[in-house]
Amino acid sequence: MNHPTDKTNKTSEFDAASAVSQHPFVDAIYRWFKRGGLDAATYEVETDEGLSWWVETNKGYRISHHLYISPEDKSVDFQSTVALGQVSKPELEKALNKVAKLNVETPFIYRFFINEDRILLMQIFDSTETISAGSYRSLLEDLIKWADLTYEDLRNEGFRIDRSAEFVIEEKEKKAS
Amino acid sequence: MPPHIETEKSKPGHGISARLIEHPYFKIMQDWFIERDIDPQSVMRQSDYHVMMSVILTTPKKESLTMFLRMYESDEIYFWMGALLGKIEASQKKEIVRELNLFSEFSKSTLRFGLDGKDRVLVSFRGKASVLNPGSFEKVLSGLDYFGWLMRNKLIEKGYSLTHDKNDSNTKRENEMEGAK
Repeated sequence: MNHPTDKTNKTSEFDAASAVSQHPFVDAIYRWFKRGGLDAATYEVETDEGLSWWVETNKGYRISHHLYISPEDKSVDFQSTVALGQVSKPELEKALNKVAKLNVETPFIYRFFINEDRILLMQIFDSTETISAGSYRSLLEDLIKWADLTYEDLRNEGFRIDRSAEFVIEEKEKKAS
Repeated sequence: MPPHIETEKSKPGHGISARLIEHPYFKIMQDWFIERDIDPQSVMRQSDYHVMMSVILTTPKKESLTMFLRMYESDEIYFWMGALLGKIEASQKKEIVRELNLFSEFSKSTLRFGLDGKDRVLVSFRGKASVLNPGSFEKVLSGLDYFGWLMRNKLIEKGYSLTHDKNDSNTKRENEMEGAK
């Protein structure tokens, strides 16, 4: 996972955040926040690579959106990730097997993985050239729906997923910034 | 889970819908096979709600890779395309599952890396037809077989075994096609 760096920690001369700030995907993200009754500006973080947002929803999901711009060709990639929670140590292997299955069977575009903190994540990553701003907006709208369905399915299958553990990565990100 | 097409069952006597046939992605899928000197009709399976084309390609290293392209209808038109890298050995499952998880975490693409119910490694891309424009669909499709080869080679270089099941319907069809040449 990429972590944000604070504005003051910027090392490159290219102002990635400013270059990406007018991109139509920013508007899509702002609308997504607005729909949830939140002000995106509160969560916006400028990084060496572009712009990032972190939020925890009232359902307990930790969500991040990133826009990365290439200093060379100015192409922009996006990444939106939902943390479903932390799987327990004894269940890690079983959960990894489940993730491998989900990446084949789920009928949507998002993919799954478990990071080094055992946080189960659902993510979309692509180039903004592949997906239009309108489509991205609809993908963002679906994000919580699919996260909910997957979370419930996993719980019904007996997986214990700890939502409170999401604060582990939150603290990590704070330290990185 | 929401309803989705899981099996590749064909319903003889039924035709795919006009919506699927007339969709620009259907033509792109057909062209993908034609460009590789494969008659799309010969590799196509269909029902009244889905169409699937699959073929085993031989890589420059003489290794096999099954490409499959599928479009189906539910509330909208969806597609699923992927590269089947081969079946793993049961003894290597734990390590391969971890490798796939790492690919998923660090890949800078929308591709998904997983294992199907028959312990076969799949690199795939799935979505609503309305989400991608035809140009992007073509781009992802043209990159998928290359990426499949690349990933298969990476796994083999790391010492993992990936084989194609001789009884698999795709393998059978490929063998028949080879025999007919």
